Order: sequence, then C-alpha cells, then structure tokens
Amino acid sequence: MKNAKTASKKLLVLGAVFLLASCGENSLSWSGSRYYSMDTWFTVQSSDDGSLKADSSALEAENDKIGAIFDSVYYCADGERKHDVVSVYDVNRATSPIEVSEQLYDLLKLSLKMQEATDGYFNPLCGNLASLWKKALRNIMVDENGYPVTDALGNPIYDPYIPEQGDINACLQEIRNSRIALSEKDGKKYAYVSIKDDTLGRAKIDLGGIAKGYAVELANQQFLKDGYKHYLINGGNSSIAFGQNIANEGKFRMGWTVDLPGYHVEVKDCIVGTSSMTVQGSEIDGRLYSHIVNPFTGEASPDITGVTILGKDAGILDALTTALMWAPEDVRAKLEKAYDLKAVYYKDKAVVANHDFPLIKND
Amino acid sequence: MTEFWKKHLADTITIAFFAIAGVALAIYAALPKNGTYDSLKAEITLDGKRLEKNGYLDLSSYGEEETEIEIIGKKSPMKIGVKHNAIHVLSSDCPSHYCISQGWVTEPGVPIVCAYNHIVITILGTSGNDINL
Amino acid sequence: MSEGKEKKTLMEEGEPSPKPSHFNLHKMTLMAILLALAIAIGYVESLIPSFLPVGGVKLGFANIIIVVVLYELGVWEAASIDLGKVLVVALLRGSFLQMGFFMSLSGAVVSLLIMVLLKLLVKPLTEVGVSAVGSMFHSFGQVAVGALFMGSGAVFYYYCYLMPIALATGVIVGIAANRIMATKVIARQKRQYGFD
Repeated sequence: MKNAKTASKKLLVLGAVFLLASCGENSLSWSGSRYYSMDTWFTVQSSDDGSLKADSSALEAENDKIGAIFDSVYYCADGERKHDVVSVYDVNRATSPIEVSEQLYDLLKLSLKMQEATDGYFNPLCGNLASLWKKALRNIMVDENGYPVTDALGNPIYDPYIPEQGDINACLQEIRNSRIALSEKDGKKYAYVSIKDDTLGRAKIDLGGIAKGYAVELANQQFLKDGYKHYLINGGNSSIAFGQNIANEGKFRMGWTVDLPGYHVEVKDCIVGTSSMTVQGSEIDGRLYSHIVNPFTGEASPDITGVTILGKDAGILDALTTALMWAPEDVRAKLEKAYDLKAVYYKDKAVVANHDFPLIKND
Repeated sequence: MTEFWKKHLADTITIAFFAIAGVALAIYAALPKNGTYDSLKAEITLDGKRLEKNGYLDLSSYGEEETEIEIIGKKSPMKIGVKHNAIHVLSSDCPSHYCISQGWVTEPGVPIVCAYNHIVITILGTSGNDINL
Repeated sequence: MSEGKEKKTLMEEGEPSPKPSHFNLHKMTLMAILLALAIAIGYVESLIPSFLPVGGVKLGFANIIIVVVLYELGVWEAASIDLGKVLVVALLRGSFLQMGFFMSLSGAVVSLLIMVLLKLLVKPLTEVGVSAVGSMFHSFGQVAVGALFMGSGAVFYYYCYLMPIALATGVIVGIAANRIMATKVIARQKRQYGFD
C-alpha cells in the first residue's frame, strides 16, 4: 500500500511539473501595430530586445517612425488621389518635367532599373492597362434600366468580362510610346512621362507592383539601423520582411492557407515576396484573371496561380514577383540567379516548380 | 480514514490522472497562442458544407471597424460581424442565442456554433504558422 | 400452513427459485420506482439551461441511480433503466428523435459500456472511479454525436471544458452511490424479496 501511495504522489508531482513546463518562459513579448496604406494593411511587430534595454515607449516611438515611412511612400506613390506632396498622380498629368521629392525620384529610379533587369516583364507604365482590367473584372451586373441586379440577400452580383482587344491594344500602344524620364538639375530632381508620338497616347505610371515592397524595405532598414533584432513587417501579405522570432530559435513559420495548403517554411532575417491570384482573382469561363498584366500582350491570366520568392531587398522582390508571373523560363532562371532568389511557383494548390525554396511538408 | 483510502486507492489514482489530463487540456485550450499577428481566414459551414456565398472569409482584409456580412442558415438568416482577424455573430433568429453571447472569436480552433441553423463558424487552423499567405 | 411457507424467502429455504429472477414482481416494482426516480431527476436536469450552445449536455445526477443499480442489481437492469430514462425524458421534453435525444442516447450507451467493462476488468476500481470515468465518456459520447450532426469536428473544442466538469460530477455521483449502497437499502430488498 505504501508503494501505491508514493506512486500516486509521484504521478501528481510529474503532472504539476508538466503543467509548469508547458507554460514556457519568454522574457520577450511582441508589440504590434497596423497601418492602412496603399490600399492594404501593413502589420508591424517588434519586440524590445533585452540587450537594448528598450522600454515600451521606445518601441512605440520606433513604431511611429515606421508608420511615418509608410505614409511617406504612400503619399508620393499614389496614382489615384491628389495629395499635398507631389505624387505619381501629378507626374502622370505632367507634359514636361516637374519637380519631385528625393523619395519619389528614388522609387521611380528603382522601377526603371527593375524594368530593365526583368527585360520589361515588370513595367511601371502599366497604369492604364491595369485600370482597364480592374474595371472589367469588378463589373457589376445591371438590368435593362441600369440598376444593379442583386442576389437573395440584396448584394450585387459580379459579372466580370474580358476587355475589348481594341482597348487592350490601345493601352499597349501607349506603353510602347512612353518612357519615364528622370533628370537632375542643381540638386533638384525632376520626372515626367515622355512620349515619342503625340498621336499615340501617354501611358500612366502605376507603382502598385513595387511601392509596397519599397516601403517595407525602408522600414526593414530602419529597424536594423536602430538595432532591433526581433521584428516582422508584413505589407499586405505580398511583401514581408522577417527579422527574428522571439521563440522557435528565431525562425518564423510561414504557410499558404489556400495556395499551397500542405507546406510551410521556417524563415528568419530575410524578405519574402508573393504574387498570387487567389484572393483578388476573378473567374471567367473557368480561368482566373487579375490585374497582374503581361506588359507585352496585355493578357491577365497567367499559367500559374502564384509565386513566392525568398531573397533580400523587399522593393526589388516586389517588382520581381510581378515580373515572374509572366516571364518565360529563361528569364525566370536569369532573375533567380542574378538576385540569388529561392522561388516556388504554384498552380491549383500544387507546386509547379521549386527552385531551391526550402519547403517543408506539414505533418 | 486509512481504511477508506485503501479501499479507494485505484479510484484516487484514476481520478487524479484524469484530473491532471483534464486541467492540462483546459489550460492548453485557453492559452493565448504566443504567435504573431496572423492573416486568419474563417470558414462558415452549413451541415458541414462550406457556404457558397461568404463561406470563406479573409479576416485580415478587414479593418478595425466592424463589417456586417449576411448568411442564410438552415432555418433563418444570420448576420455575422467581422473585423481584423476577428469574427462574431451579430444576430440570428435561433431560440437560445448562445452563438451571439459567445462574442468575438480571434483564434483558430474555437468554433461558433448555431445548432438551430446548423451553422458552424471556424477560424481555420493555421497549422501553427506565424504567417499565412 | 402453506401460506406461511410461501411467505418465507427462497434463500432461507435453500432451494433454487422456480422462476427466473428477472420476472420477480418485487424486482419489477423496485425497478419501476427507480426508473420513475431517474426520469424525474433527468427531467428536472433537462430544464436547467445548458451553458454551452450545443444543447443536450446535462449534469447527470440521475446517474446515481444507474450506478447503484449497476452494482446492486446488474448490467441489464442498469441498461434498461438508463435507456428508459433517456427515452421518456426525451418524450416528455418533446425532443424525441431530435439531435438532443441522439446525443443523450449515445452518451448513455458509451458510458454504460465503459462502466461495465471497468467493473468487470479493473477489479481495484470501486463505484467512485467507475462512475467518474463513465461520466467523462458520457459527455464524450454526447459531443461526438453533436459533432456528427453539425458535420464539424470543431465542436470537440467544447470537450476541453466539459471533461473536467464531467469528472467532477462523476466523482460526486460515485460518492453518492457509495453512500446509498452503504445504507444497504437495495441489498435488503434483494434479500427480502429474493432476487439477485
């Protein structure tokens, strides 16, 4: 009997130890903020690294800096609304060079560099083409009188269509006819869209495929400069800068709920970029279309559902993911090599091609 | 008193075992996950099948302000409220209203059930991921 | 003279009973009373609102009777009272053949099975331990059927909270059964009226 009594006592002690152990010990904890900018949510998480002896007000100040970065990029990269500072909106309407800020100039310069590096598969002048497709894909069904048709709950029904080839061709012509012209004079920066032939139209700049990444990279550099080690900057899920996690040996676990449900990766101190049609795509006749357009043909339905890449510099990677959606095999290989990328291409919830991407199967 | 414990020794061991297991389970279920802010997705099913309309919601695409979403349950329509990474039931014609009293759900694995309407709302398991694209 | 003989118990005579014991009228009466008692407790319990959105999960104090019957009268006796209680309470509450009924039914069947097995195979366990485990399996059976009806495994999440409660009520039920059996109220009936 004594044996059994001590046995049950031991069991109880074991249970208590198990409970305490599972609580885990973490001197670090996350602090987070979210910013709505460039039509998407930016989520920032950071942690006061014990070695920096930062307190929470220092963290708050850092997060404010990051928020200011997002705002700054947003104001100059916005092509749809007018702001107090000179933005893409103004550059698009200029017929001769206008003065722009250092940041906008820097962003435009990066866009041109990426256009060249991707052999034109990333093209910042696709503004009109993207708008054409957006309008067509978000079209609402209307009845004979022009009133929206609604479903059982009173919601409008979407009726996406493929734009007229004539309209697409006109946009392509504009793109071929235009060029982003950057110049400097007396320390000031100037930009506008120059055209070859006045009768063939002027293309519009759209920095949607690079601005988010550019902002994330600036934020990333800010954290590094101020000595933060544990952070995560998520720009609308398409551009993510990983610092280190506070648990799991510094690695973050990342997966794809819809695009690649069976896999995940463990990453840290790197940038991940994604382009995917799943969330924003519209289906027409069994194919998915989105506003990620081919700058040469004007098409909007690529062969893959999406691509995710791992590398350095969020701005560069943002432009690359856009280009990789349409680029042929040889251009993809060239870009992967030039920028030391790991890439995974997927379609219909399965991997189409994996180039060194460290995928781990879920158990 | 020792006579009593002698007789009920097996009982005590068994009950202690299940008590520890049960408490550990309850703690595990209630523990806030030490994860990062996630892009959570919610699934709404009727009799186990995902709803055609609004059956799959990307909760990270909503802001701090609550958005109303309407669904049709088995017996009555229901209003669901969503905001960033959180979901709850706003209104329903069921007799007990437990689904509404449950309030906001922000984590995977915790379901909101409306038995009257055969509706189950679950935030999809992130498979322990910190980020879900 | 013959009257006196008939009044004596069979155990004193030392003769085997001419009738099978489960047709014993006194036993039937006793079981009927116990069944009525179980139904009464079960019905009152069913009026208490469940604090979980999945209906049909109740406290289970009627199981005191089930456990006592299991130990004092036998497996089939306990099973018939338990199932009879589930049926009549469902009829009274108007939830017959609805989800709640099937949940209670499944819970009763599962818990009876586990209790019988434990009683037969794990000798050191007394009614307290058996009742505790039976109670946890009872709520498990209920939740399992609930999950089946909902078509979603998500309902099992509630089991995390149900299980400790079920354990606690199971222990209380077991102790109550223990105390009742200690008064030997049923054992006396058995000896007096000759059923086993």
